[in-house]
Amino acid sequence: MSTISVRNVSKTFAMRSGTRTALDSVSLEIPSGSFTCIVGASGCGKSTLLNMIGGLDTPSAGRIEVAGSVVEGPGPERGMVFQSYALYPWLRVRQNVEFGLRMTKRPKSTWKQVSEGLLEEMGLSDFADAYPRELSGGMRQRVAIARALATDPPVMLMDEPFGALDALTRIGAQRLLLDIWQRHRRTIVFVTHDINEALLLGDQLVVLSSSPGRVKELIPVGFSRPRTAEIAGTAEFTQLRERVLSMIFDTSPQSARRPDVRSASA
Amino acid sequence: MKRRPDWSSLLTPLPGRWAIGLGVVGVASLLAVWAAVTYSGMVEPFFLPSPTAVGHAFYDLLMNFGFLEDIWASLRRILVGFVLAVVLAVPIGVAMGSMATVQSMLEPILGAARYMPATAFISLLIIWMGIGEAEKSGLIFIGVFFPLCLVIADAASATPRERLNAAYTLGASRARAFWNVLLPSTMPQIIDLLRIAAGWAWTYVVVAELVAADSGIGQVIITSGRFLRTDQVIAAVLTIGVLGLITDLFFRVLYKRLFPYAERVTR
Repeated sequence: MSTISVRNVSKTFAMRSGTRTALDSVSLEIPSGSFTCIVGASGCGKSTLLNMIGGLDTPSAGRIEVAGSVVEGPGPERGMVFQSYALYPWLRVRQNVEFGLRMTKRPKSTWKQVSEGLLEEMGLSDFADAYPRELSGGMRQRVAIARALATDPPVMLMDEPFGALDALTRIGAQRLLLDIWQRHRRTIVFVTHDINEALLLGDQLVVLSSSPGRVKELIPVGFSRPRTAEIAGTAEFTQLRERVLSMIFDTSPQSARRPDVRSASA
Repeated sequence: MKRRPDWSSLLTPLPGRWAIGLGVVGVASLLAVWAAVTYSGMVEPFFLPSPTAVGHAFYDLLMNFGFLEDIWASLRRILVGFVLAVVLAVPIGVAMGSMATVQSMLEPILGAARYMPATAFISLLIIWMGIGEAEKSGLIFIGVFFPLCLVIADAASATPRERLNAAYTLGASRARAFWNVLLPSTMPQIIDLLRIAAGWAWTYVVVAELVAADSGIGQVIITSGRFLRTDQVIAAVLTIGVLGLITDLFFRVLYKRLFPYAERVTR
């Protein structure tokens, strides 16, 4: 089981003007095999949280466990996908996908089968021998996803992976991701600032408030699967979306704490 | 119908044919101005000899003054000094740029050495090594090594962090991340920096040959200058320009060969 548990995790950064608290005692349970989206305004620490689960950053307090063991650094059992793709421009698409297999010393005879299978799933079979720069943004991100999947990690951490894609490419990428997740179930933690995206993809939404980042609420998303973009037209979806937005911007009627509220459409 | 390129568009490369054509136009214009001011008698030949006079001087240098041997002498000094500097500066620079421990240890030394002009070492080099070949190559080494370490360190430290992070999440150890990500990621810039450093080497070989040399292009320049042979001085200076251009071209071709995936060659 690859449950992720975040226990009382805080992260502070030392700044010239003092310490800044990016995350303040965040606790979360992410069930194995679930698709969890972390949403929040920019600067709420959602990427920091993801990086800490990935082991690329360390908590200032508290601890994170994945499948029962404390995260102490990055590893191939937690694949990551970055917004900037982070592909290796000197390697061809196939070699990029096989990179993790090379690093984890899998037998060379298996590489081709793995990379060809993934490239086919991603619709990139014709580009196996291309260099990343010859591909469009959407294709590059598909290569990055294939690369992360190659070592078959039980956990996938995705940091605004579709943030740099145009609206249409993005829809295609979301569909593909849902499709892949449907086929190879694994625990996905997906950071985004796009609430529609989060509602379309996730089983649950973690809403973070900003400065300091705290878990505002854990919202289960109950739409039946397989989902299509059409659910965005339902009243249920709109209601949920409004609820999340008001939470992020703190405009809910019962909390009049903040005078500087901005409109939800901002 | 052939489409004409847009002459004034910003940051857009020209088609190869046009780029070469414009280069020829540039050189031809310079030659034309040179020819105009010299053949017309506007400038005295003593200050600026005509293109044909410089051509004659070049031929004369080759035939009667053993200029080829001078060229070879300079090339050899560059080869020794430059190669030695590169062989040491590349690993030191990369280590400095990628590991903070190495950086902290070497930064003060290299940072100070960078401000010491290589020419200031000439006296020391002569005391240590005499006035032979070692001293000449030594000066080139000093002139190239210190700044090259620092620019390579900069290039290595500019490796996109996410490329490394991606490698770690794909199971790479530190050593593997270094050899399989940091180094290949920095390599194109290193080759490009070597191209620029070759230019420094040409500067220092001339400086080295101005002092106590009996051969070399720099020595030809200083001797011709003493005899007020402006034509020979210009012929020798232009020779350096052409040889520099060839070295530059060599590195550009090397870059294209080694990094077919790279977006473009930098300036």
